[in-house]
Amino acid sequence: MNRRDFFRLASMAGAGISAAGLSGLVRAATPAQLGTVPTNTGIKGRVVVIGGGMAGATVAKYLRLWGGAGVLVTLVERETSYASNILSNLVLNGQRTMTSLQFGYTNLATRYGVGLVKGDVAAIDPVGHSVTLADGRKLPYDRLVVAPGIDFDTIPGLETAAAQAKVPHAWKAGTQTTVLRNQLLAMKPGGVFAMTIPAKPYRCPPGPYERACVVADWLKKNRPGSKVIVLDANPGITAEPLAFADAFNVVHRGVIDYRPGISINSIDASTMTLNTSAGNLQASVINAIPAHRAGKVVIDNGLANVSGRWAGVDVLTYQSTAAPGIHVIGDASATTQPKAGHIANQEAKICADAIVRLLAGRSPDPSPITNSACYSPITSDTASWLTAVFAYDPVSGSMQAVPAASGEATARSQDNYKEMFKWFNALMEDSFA
Amino acid sequence: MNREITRWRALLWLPVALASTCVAAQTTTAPPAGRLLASNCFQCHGYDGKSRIGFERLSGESSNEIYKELREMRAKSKPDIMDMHARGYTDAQMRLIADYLATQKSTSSTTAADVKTSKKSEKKESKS
Ligand SMILES: Cc1cc2nc3c(=O)[nH]c(=O)nc-3n(C[C@H](O)[C@H](O)[C@H](O)COP(=O)(O)OP(=O)(O)OC[C@H]3O[C@@H](n4cnc5c(N)ncnc54)[C@H](O)[C@@H]3O)c2cc1C
Repeated sequence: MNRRDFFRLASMAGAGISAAGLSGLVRAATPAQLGTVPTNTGIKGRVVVIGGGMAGATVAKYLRLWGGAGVLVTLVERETSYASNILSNLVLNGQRTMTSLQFGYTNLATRYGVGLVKGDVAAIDPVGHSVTLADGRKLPYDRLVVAPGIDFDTIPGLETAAAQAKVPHAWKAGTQTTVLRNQLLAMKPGGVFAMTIPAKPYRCPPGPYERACVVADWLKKNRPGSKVIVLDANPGITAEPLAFADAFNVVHRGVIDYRPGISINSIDASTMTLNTSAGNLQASVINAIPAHRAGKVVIDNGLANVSGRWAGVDVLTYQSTAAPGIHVIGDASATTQPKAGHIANQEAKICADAIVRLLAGRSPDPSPITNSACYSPITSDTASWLTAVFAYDPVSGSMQAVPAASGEATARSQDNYKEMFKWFNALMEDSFA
Repeated sequence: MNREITRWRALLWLPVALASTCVAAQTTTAPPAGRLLASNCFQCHGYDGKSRIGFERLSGESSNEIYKELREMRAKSKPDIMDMHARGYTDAQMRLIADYLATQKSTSSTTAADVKTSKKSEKKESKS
């Protein structure tokens, strides 16, 4: 960025790009199937969204589609584009590249008139109704949506950047995903790939098991004799128990060694040794996924009122139970729903709908429903799936799984594997396009 | 990466207008019934059911067709992913979803013929 660009950016402070300024463009540029921003809803307000991930991108888009041109939405995101976690396990076996998992923000601006600000939100002022960016810029809001995803605890022994680069989590898609892919490529036949799974709640319950399968499948074909040792802090498989029990005991038998109920005390990156509740273990590659907590901006601004890690919310509006006017959606919130991209997208729609109603002086929808669908690759050409539907329960004030609608595929299949890409493309379009 | 940066920069040229705040009067119309419920479909079936790249296109079908399909799915003994999903909604909710989707007309860029073709290829694919 040159000096002129920097000043242009700086002059945006406090405004974002006006949504209203773009409304002329909106109708011209939106393919009809993707929806247009109405101009005549009569609803007005300024909404700032922190974080342009699965939750933040979706809420920004739907606030405009459902709120209309009078709802001015400014999306603050620290990265230039979004790197999808979903499908990032397929970077490890070379079926996808990180480049193919990048999603830009241009569509949100040109099609829906979402104002974009590239920056890192440092502080929230719930009384003065504004957020302050790390570079000092201030953005005022009437309603704030916080969607920063998660951050990680530090595993003892992995305090330095060098140690973290040697023992990646690759649980936020990006550089670390590529590092882990390269470590796999550098493995010799007969090597040990050790991965650790933190105690619930963590993002994408089936994700670590899916990764174990994808890696095992690749090692079998490319580094024969190698093993995947899975150290799970949970007492058993936390999602798709049928599919993964079959994967561990049948499909990848002798390659995946699944060990539940094991926690990690520390990791020595120089000797590549894990110190666990079941003794020491040495490995050629260590993929350690640390325990999660809500993104820093939630913790730093007093919104993490559930076990000091997660933001408590009212699931009718996703309004924080710690501060009025602030909504928290996606992985950062504490709800009964899994931390997943599909769910984050649906939470965002409930939140957008609620904000639009609140701005119009109405009450939120009293009986929202959310859903989750997820495909998990078991080999390089078969996948399983899971689904869940959650309905609002007024007695407990929480989203409760509808048992009949929650379950998993009876068997992995090649059809499921193909459908996985259709599902991914559609979900990403609903969120970013 | 560079292309993305250029895009961000290009966006910064767009006019800046400060918004004034005011809470809307009660003159606004209520959100359409069933819209929030139906948005559970959009992740896979596209905005307002107007799928282009995902699963079966829903807009263009009548309310009764959608309602009937959902109920049939719910009753399947060997549920696939959508059959399982359908079990999460009551009759009344299915009706609201179907009514909302049926009012989202097929758009000019998609003819009735396109809709039929995309449905056919969908069915073929899921059989193969
Ligand atoms: C390997 C893996 C596989 C997965 N597979 C699936 C799957 O198959 N299906 C599924 O449904 N889910 C899956 N998930 C889970 C899914 O990725 C997350 O649940 C989802 O991304 C959560 O969305 P979010 O918006 O809360 O957070 P994120 O998508 O992480 O987005 C947060 C955004 O906020 C930005 N941000 C954070 N703090 C700030 C700040 N202070 N200022 C500005 N910007 C900020 C970040 O840069 C980021 O862009 C998977 C996850 C992993 C790791």
